[in-house]
Amino acid sequence: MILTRGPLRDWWMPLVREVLPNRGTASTQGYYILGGDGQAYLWDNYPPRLSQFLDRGLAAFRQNRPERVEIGDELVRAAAPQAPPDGTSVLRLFTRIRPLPEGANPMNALLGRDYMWVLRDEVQAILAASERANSFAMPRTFVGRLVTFHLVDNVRGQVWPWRPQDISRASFIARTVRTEGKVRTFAFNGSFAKRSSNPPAWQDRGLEGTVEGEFDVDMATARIVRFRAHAGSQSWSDARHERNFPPPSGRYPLVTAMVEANDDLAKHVAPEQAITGQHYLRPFMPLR
Amino acid sequence: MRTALTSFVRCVSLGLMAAFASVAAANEAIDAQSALDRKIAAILPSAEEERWLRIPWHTNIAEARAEAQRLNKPLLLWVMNGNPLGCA
Repeated sequence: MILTRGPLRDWWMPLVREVLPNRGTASTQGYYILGGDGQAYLWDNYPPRLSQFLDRGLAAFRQNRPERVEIGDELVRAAAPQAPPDGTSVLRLFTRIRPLPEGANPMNALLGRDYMWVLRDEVQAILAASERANSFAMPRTFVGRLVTFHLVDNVRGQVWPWRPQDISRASFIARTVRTEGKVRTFAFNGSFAKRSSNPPAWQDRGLEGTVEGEFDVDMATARIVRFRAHAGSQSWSDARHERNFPPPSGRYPLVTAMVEANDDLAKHVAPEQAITGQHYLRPFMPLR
Repeated sequence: MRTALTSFVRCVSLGLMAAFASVAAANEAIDAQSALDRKIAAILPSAEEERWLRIPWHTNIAEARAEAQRLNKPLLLWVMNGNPLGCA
């Protein structure tokens, strides 16, 4: 659900100005207390005082209860979360810095979360390749999406996006492990490297590592029914825009777990970078 | 007779070796799988880190507003660049 552009923008931006008059061009992220009529009572963005914020919000609501308004189907459709393309398999990703280097900012102990979409035609391509050879390269768009958008250090929050042209290595090979009934099991592994410079925000940022995993595909539907993968990498960044919550200095270990996500939540929460549309779905990776 | 016996013993030995080899390969695959599972389990969120998911969050603000009106309650809206429900 995108608030700052599209059909919700005309409602959202005046609301933000009301509770954040001095926001300027800063982010609209944070917590809001709203009435059912769409009016805002309060804003904050400091989790340690969330409890007091909720008490203040409830008091403000009781003092000035909203009027009843019509909420039409058009607004419900406009506010619907971004849906994956038909037949998409969804993975859930968790990232940590492990072990945490001594003296690192406490924010580095947090857990990074995201979802990844694996398109039906990519799974179909894997199945087709497995009919031709026991060992084969993983689809380029899958690899491009994984390395560009998902093998990232997001433990301190939002990531300044990587670009496909930052990638210098992305080689992922799969092999068939077994076929039992309508389920085919694959193992895969690979290595990747990416690096970028974007002064003055950062001079040098990089990530390189390896991935190993195994997954089951329902051959009838071309859906991933089980996915287990682990990425171990070395990350570094001298990002200045992260001065309040800096990453560990020098190179530090980053690990990512990837598992299937077939629950209801996974169907309604888009990957963070899915907002970029085709750039996310069909990443063009210049690397050969 | 001795030759036949030797051949039989060799066959039995080869059979046993093949059986051991396939058991060893299977054990190796299971070990590799459990090693992968252990590495993944070490990263997955703890129960404490999943507590916030006990709240039945809405993912559609319009539906949430309609429910707030029905229940005569205020809404807590959590806004992130990305999505708080899994991307924070």
